[in-house]
Amino acid sequence: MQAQIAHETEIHRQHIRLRIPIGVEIDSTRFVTDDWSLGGFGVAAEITSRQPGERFPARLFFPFEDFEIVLHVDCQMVYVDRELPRFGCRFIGLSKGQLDLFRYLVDAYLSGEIVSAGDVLAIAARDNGAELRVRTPIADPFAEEEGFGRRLKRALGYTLLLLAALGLAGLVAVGVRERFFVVKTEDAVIWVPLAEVRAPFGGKVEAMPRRDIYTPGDPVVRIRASEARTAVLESPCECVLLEWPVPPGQYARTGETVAVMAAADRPLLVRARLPVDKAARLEIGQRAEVYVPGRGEPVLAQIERIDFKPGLEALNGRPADGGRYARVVLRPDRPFDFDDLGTLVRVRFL
Amino acid sequence: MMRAVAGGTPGSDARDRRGSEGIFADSGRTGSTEVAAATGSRAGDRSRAVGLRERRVYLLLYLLGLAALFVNAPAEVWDPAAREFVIIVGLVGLWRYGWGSVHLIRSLIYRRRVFPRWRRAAELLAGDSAAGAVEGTADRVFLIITSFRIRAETTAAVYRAAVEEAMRYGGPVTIVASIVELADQRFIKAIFAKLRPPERVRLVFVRLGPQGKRDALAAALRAVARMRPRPDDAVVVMDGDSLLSPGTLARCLPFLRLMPDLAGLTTDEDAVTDGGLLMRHWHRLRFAQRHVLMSSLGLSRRLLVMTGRMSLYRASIATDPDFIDIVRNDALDHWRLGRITFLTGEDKSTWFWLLERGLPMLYVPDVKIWTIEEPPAPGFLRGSTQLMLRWFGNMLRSSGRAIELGPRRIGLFTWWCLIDQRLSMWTPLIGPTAALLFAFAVSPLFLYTYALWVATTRLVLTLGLLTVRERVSGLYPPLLYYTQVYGALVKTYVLFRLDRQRWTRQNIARHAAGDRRWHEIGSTFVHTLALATLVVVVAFLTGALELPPRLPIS
Repeated sequence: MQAQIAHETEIHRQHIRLRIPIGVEIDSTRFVTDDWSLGGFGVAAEITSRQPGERFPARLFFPFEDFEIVLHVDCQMVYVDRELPRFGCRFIGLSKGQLDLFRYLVDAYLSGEIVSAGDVLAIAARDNGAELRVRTPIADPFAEEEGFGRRLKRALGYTLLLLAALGLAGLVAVGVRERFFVVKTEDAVIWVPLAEVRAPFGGKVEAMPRRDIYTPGDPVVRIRASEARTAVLESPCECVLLEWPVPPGQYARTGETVAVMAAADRPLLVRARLPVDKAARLEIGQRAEVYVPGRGEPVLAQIERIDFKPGLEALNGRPADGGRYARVVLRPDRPFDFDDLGTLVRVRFL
Repeated sequence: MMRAVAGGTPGSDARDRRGSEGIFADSGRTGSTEVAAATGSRAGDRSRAVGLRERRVYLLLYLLGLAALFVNAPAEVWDPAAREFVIIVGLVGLWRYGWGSVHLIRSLIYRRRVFPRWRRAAELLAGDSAAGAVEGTADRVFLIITSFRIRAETTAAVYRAAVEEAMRYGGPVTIVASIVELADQRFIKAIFAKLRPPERVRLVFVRLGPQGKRDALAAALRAVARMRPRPDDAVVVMDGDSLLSPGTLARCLPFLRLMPDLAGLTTDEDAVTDGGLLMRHWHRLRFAQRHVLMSSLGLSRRLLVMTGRMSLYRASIATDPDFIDIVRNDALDHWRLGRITFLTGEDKSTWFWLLERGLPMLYVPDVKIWTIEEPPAPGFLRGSTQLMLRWFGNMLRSSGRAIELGPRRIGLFTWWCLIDQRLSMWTPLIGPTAALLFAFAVSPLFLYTYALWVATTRLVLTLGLLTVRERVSGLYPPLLYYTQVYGALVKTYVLFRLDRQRWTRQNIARHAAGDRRWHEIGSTFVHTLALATLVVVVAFLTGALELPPRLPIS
């Protein structure tokens, strides 16, 4: 079935036809076109001077308000219908400039554009058919034509970055382990078992001759309540005198600690305090590093004892000092100097 | 000028009507209203009053919010347990704000002390050149405007402002319209004819296919070169959405005579944004910040960009074949991405050309250009992201080679500013990263402390903008923070994907060819590595991660 409506151009027209009157002069006779397009024109008039198939020059007149544009074209007669009367011609050998001008004039007519003579000259002079400039190809790092140098550079760069990434990953792993999995404490001290010498009754404290090391039985201090009542207190161990809680010459009450002595025959240990949850992750015999302030290298040590028993205060329902803490005792691989006794240290359990 | 005999199509008529009537008259539309506000019409007065009230309300709300944060702060906030937090955030802040203060002080010196002296000298010269105009010896001006797919209202406003400015200027002016579409040509001609400029004002069209702004501008510059300008004539290069303020030419051109070595100049800018509330404030904030930075740089007579919205060049520069060539063909050799041909950022190319040759540039702070900003995508986040991708991409593609020129060639201050541009894409990320890590490792209260810090410092920065703008908005502090932190993320994204380019208006995109997948993997890998390094370093500094006293490798 044939379509009722069809665009004429679909059948045989190459260009849209315009029913805009322009003038055309053939063999000195001027006609007004009935319609025209970029392909040719039709005139509703009789012509006798030309026959179909004949080629001839013509002039087209485009009227503007104050000027007229004349275009010289070569035409070929397509048909002559003497009954209508009507004849049609097609343009042949239009140059690109003429085509541009045609297009511009069609656009200008259709849109009612303001057209100056300069515009028309510019269009006529313009070459719209210029070839595209060759542009530098855009980046293609994987192109075959890439030089060896650049590829090597890229490979080296990526290798370095990959190494950096691996280094970073390692650093993160170390950081995470150190932050979350390594037990550390700064609540630690170099320690040794202590002995306290207490006053049996109230009296004045008198120091006995000072010794570097006291053997068991050596007099350490005398308590004088009166001329008649005195007591000499002896060293309970092979000890050094650490401290006078009640200085000589002062009065001590009954049971008051007058001297603190430290065992001289036993190595110095490290006593650390840790929250119970952290201490529970430790084992007896586990290695640790002990950092003594002012010394670069840590001292290696080993856990000797872990004491999870709270003090009597906690058992009595009173809060013990520090709450839920455990005590860990470490024995250093290399003995500390006795001068280090009491030094606060940092411990990192390995 | 004659009108063609046949009538216009309904479409083109409608377009003409919409354009010509919508230039300043339609007070109902945001864009037009703000243009009107910028140009001082009655609708503009109303709009200004509304805008002022709006800004005051936001500022008041912000201050109330900040006061509430302070009043309700837990006591621990004032005594942060982690000294490192104060050190890290404080040190970074001290550096950033110290550097910002340097720019502010330099900007004040430039605008209050140095430039006014130049302005007085220029005004003296301007008197002479006015006499010259009568004698026909005034500088010729070539006004290049590149337009593509810009709304008719904007095109109308821009060309109307340009033609009117050309009419106000005493000398010969040639407006070169670099366009793509025939409709634009007709529209611009209609505007030109309607304004009836004198003979000394000419309109020239350069029409190309939609091949991007670089081609369009290069063609326009070649057209200017063919008109054989005198070396000291002026070539103004501007975008098709930039409005020349009255007196721009008269106030800028004398500097070309005053400073014979001057290669080009650019001016202050402000935006009329056809977007939502945030987009409007964000644009204005960025232009205010730009004004401070450019004024500071102006003191060194070296800028960081010859902005494409409006820059003025000496004709001998603008018509130099090498100059035109770099506008059209500019590229970067990247060790990983290969050769990247620039699609956008022609203003950075021209700037680099001047910088490379040690040619002085000038910032004119008392002349303001208005740009009609049309968000490239709906929604503030999408729109601002697209814009930042383009701006930062242009910046980063050009700054590396500029840094390579070294401080001796481009001056220590400018060089350090370029270095700072690179550093400043990482520093804004340190604060929030540290706050999050402290919140995780020590106490969530650090987020509160950080919020207080951010809110206070951004308010101070916003108040600093009062030195360049009459008013500031209460939306500026959060927008500042957004620009700094989110902008830094965008910058880092772009830094590792310099091959990605897109013109927001033209939808022209350029990626490296070849195996895109590998390319993407490489970029993502390097980007992730860089961000991870930053986070890991901050994590170690904050104590969220710890190094053993002795590393296992030692």
